[in-house]
Amino acid sequence: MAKPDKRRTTRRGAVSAALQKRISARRTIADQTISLAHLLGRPVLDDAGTRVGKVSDVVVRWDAGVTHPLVVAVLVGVGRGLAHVDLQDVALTQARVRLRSGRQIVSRPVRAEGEVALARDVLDRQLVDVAGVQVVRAADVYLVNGPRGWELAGIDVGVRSFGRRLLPKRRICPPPDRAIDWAELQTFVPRFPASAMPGKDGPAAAAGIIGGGVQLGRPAAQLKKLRARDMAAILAELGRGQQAQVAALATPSAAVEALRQLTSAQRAALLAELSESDRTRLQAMLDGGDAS
Amino acid sequence: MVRLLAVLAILGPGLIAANAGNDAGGILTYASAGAQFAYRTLFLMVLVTVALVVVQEMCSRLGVYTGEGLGGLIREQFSARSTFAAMVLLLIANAGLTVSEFAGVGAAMEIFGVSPRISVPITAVFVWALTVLGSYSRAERLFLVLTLAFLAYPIAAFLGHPNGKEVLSNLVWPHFLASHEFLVLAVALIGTTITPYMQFYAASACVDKGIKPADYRGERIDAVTGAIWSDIISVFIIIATAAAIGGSGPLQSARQAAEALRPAVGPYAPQLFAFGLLGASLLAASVVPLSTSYAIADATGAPRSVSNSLREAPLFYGIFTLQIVVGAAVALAPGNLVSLVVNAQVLNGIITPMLLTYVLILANRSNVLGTAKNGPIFKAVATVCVAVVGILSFVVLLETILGLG
Repeated sequence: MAKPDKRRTTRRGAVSAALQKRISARRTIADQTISLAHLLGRPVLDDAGTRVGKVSDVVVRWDAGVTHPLVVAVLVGVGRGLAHVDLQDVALTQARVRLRSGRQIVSRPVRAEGEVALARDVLDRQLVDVAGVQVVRAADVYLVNGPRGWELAGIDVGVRSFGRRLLPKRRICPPPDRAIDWAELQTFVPRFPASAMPGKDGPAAAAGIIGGGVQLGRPAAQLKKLRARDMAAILAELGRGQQAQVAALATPSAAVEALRQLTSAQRAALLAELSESDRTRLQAMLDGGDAS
Repeated sequence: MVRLLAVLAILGPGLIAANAGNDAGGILTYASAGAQFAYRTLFLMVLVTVALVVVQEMCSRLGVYTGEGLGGLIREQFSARSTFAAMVLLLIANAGLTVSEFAGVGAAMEIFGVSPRISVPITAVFVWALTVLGSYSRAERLFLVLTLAFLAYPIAAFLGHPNGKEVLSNLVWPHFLASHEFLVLAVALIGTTITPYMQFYAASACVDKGIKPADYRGERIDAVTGAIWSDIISVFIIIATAAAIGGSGPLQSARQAAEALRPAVGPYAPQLFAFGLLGASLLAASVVPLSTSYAIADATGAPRSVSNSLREAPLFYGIFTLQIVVGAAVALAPGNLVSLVVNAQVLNGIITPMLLTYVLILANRSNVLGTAKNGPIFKAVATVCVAVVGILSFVVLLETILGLG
């Protein structure tokens, strides 16, 4: 009777170790990514830890030629009003937003020229492809802490992502279901040409117009192919250690697809970070795919 | 006939949505009101008409000015949980109605001597194929022509020699009864006249037909006249039934409802009634599932148009197909048709105020409709309408839960 018990314990130990590794990898990545849907409504604390409001929105700056717009501010709901807090004055995490020393809450127009409020202008908005076909709605918006600071990584259009929003909010960033890199999204499109914000020009002018949406730079039929590209974009932005952890989280086929999107130098660097067995397995899958 | 078809060719979503309201459930509920309480529900119908005009106009305005259906607007303006709740409520309400539409088809064909076991499956395939594979707009017009058979009701109402003084007095002054049965029927009448599917359909069809804000004047006329026209027919159904079998208690069968047409067409009353019931049921059997498909596809953002192919809009047509299959299958189950249909209307009556609240909030918001948002008077009237419908539904729900009925 002792033998099976021992085997079970060993196996449980192995499973537990793998799970621990997976959880800790996810935690590391989760620290560097934020799901907007699960951030909204989270508390905003002052430097003494007292709640001063809740997260109402996150604002990014829309500069020409930038594929992943930088987060510039957080809109904080204080009572029935909104306060605009510059990103440099806060520490952003999935569970809470903490004001750095001294409160820097400034009251100014919620959306300045060239700024996009993500909850209002992107989350739950329609995604339109190049042919004008309405494809899907954004179920979540992902922010990544890249070398330049917090930036808009992409949107998630998965049903699972929408389903998660029906449950209590997560304190750790949940993994994307069907993510689309923001670089794949071109501009905001109003439903009626005349309905852009009066007196405003540029791609962000149509943001937030009811009935408008975000335009995808490719036909709807190619949408399902975007996940690997998105992962690759995120991988390229992160440090090498984190890249390996991201790859470890992915299913082998998704990881291989993502690896194919990288340059050979990036791929070699990432593979070097993996364990011997993972490296051999992924390399074999890569070689197999290339051969076919 | 040619002129009639020409008029029907330019009919807008407002008239189609409101006319679909006089569906199998509607006709049997109105007839039941006439049979059970004679003319006493007429004043209620006047109030319901005001509410219907207000609600249908708001929905058309939302569709035209935002370019979004109600499902999409709810997703953009409310939380994910609210969107999910609204879609589940709509799905439940519409599932009950789809069953009653197919039950209506079965009852109509039974008058012609065709068993529902044969007529219902054939009709389900027919409605599905016309909508998914054929030209939906042509099918829509065909169904509308069939509903013209109900023009026989106004004729029957006059030929049935109703008590004119009593009719007039009941139309302008309430003669309500303080009974559970009356309250339940009142909610059923509201539920069958102001239905969530008509609201979702009106907004989405305006978007699907590409009606722009510049064309809204015409669409408003369409929405208002459609609502009034549909309720005039409803009132005549009540009067004709009340004159023929008023006070005889709850309606037991569709054939009994057809008796009200006897003064107009004599022995052909059942056949004429069957034609009208068939047209109304066919129209609603496509409109009701379509409204669910529009709403859910709209909320998820998936392609949604009757002009899309099956491959282009799989979710839209998938939901449509599922409802047709389930609706037809349940309608074939044995049971009392009239009580099933009236119960589906009561369920709609309870769900309606919840969904109407979303419509009201959306139409009041300036960030949704801009200058086209509800004005102060319209807002007050709409709020009272939603509140009254809500209170009545709540009372029925409470009575049912507490077992007071």
